[in-house]
Amino acid sequence: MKNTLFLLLSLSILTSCDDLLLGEEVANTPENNFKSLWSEFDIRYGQFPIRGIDWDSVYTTNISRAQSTTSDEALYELMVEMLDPLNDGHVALIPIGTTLPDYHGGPIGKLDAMSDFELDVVKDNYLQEVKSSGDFFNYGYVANGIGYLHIEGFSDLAKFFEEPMNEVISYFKNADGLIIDVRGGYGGEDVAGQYIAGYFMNEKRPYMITKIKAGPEHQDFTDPVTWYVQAEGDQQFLKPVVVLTHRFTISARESFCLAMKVSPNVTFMGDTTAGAFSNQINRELPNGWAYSLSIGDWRDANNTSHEGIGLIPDVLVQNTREELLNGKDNVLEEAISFLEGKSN
Amino acid sequence: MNKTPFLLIILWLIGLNTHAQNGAKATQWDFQLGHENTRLLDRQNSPLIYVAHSAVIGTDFLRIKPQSVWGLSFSSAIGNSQAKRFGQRSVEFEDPNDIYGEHETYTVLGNPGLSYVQASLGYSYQSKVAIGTQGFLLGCQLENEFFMSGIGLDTWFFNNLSLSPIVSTAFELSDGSRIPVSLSFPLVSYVVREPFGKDPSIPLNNYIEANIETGASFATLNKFQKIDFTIGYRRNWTSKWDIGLDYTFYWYQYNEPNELNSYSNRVTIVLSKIN
Repeated sequence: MKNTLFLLLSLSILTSCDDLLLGEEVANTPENNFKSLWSEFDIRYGQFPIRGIDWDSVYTTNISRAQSTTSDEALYELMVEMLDPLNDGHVALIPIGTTLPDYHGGPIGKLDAMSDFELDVVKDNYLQEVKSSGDFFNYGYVANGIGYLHIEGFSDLAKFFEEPMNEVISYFKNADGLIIDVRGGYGGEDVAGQYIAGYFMNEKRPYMITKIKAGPEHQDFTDPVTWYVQAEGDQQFLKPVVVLTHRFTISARESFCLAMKVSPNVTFMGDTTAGAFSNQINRELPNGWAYSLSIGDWRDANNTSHEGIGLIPDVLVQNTREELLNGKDNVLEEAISFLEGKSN
Repeated sequence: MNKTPFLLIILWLIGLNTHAQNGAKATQWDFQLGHENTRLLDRQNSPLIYVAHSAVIGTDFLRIKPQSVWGLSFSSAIGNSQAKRFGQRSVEFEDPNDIYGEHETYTVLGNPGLSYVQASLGYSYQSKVAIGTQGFLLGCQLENEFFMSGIGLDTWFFNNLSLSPIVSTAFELSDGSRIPVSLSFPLVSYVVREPFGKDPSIPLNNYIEANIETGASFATLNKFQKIDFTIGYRRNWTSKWDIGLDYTFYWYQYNEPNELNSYSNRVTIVLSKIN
């Protein structure tokens, strides 16, 4: 009987000793939530050196306010004020379990509408035949000898793009020029953009240098990694290409643009990209709110950072909402004219 | 972490007065089915404790020789993992308005359905020894364990390939039933987990390869501590089958790049076929 009691007692202790076996879970108080957000950014955010933000002063300025905060609304307001100066499209705060709005940083967070692009306008008014391949590609001819490819997403590994890309390139083998549209949608995997860009290259070229946080200090990074783009697929398209971008072109779409930029045949048109290249990670606070942050420093092959700035197109063209509602995509028309001029 | 208990156990194992026992050759298949409760706090990923309730299946194959036993084991736990403080959460996302002034709203369920997976595959070799009248099995085990779970709006994993001393015995009861007990803890492990930055972010088209390249390291007791303790009950069901119940307590701690702690309580019904 004694042994049985001992066994039962032992089992009950083992099943109720989270503090002993796991360590203490951080209490859910406004001060702890503020400290958790601040300290996680302090050790994991990869862009303090290039953003020029004095993060220590953010703490000293706001800690007393956090200690006196009592409502979700006030805490949210404080956190948004902390994060907004980073001007980073990969920084977000999602106040789960409240009615407060999601916060998104950077230029993209200031835009409440994607009013300068609509794929249906392209499909309905410009594409002679709408074809699709894989999960992400819509394509067809938009003028005599001028092809159009819209890439909806980059959220897969390279192997998932091989068959669709071979299909697309084969379809456009007789085209004189190609428009690649990366407006709309969101980011994905850098390796996807690297692979797709390889269909427009005939030699191996460096295009991007990345490093991510490797320790708690602001300057603790992994060794830089150079990314190369090289010829991919059964055949490559080496004639003139125009890449269309706008302010919502973000993350893996932007690293795809970096890869396309090293090709001599590529011209960029549209609006400046979002300026948020680095990978992001998702985290959470003791109160269950989620947030995201950039973990690294992404640069072009010349070691220039475009974070917070974006890639400025060779030809700046913008659409208005009214023009799009009338079925007119100025950016696309400019690209068609440009390529027609090249082929004549 | 105080290493003294581990050192004492090792010294005790080394100092055992061992001699071989006699016995017949046999093979044994064990089949397990049960439930596991796992708790996880990984400060690398979240300040919150996660709790997973999982269904467990497993099987062992033992080859029993006069002086030794070798075995292959596989088990898997699949279930649902949620933050202990909040339970199931959902997030509503809104796309920006399109040119028509409309937007899509979609709800993402935090850690849906099968958001916790554990799988282990092990090989062990043990020699039969005796201390007084009590027979023991003493040897080592090579085991790979993989854990994956949803945490917040992200995923988490931890993998260890470990070499562990293992000791087991069975206490015979007067009615012919037995209480088997076993204990193992790794001395050397090859651990793979997320790097400090969490996402490997290197130009490789294989997540496993990328995580091995950026987040793998060898660990001894100074970095990785784990205890796997099982106690059970067995009785004869038929001449070829035993039936019983196992309780397993499992705890581990890994301290790079930030502290990870987890423990599990597992209860399984065990059927053993002996040839």
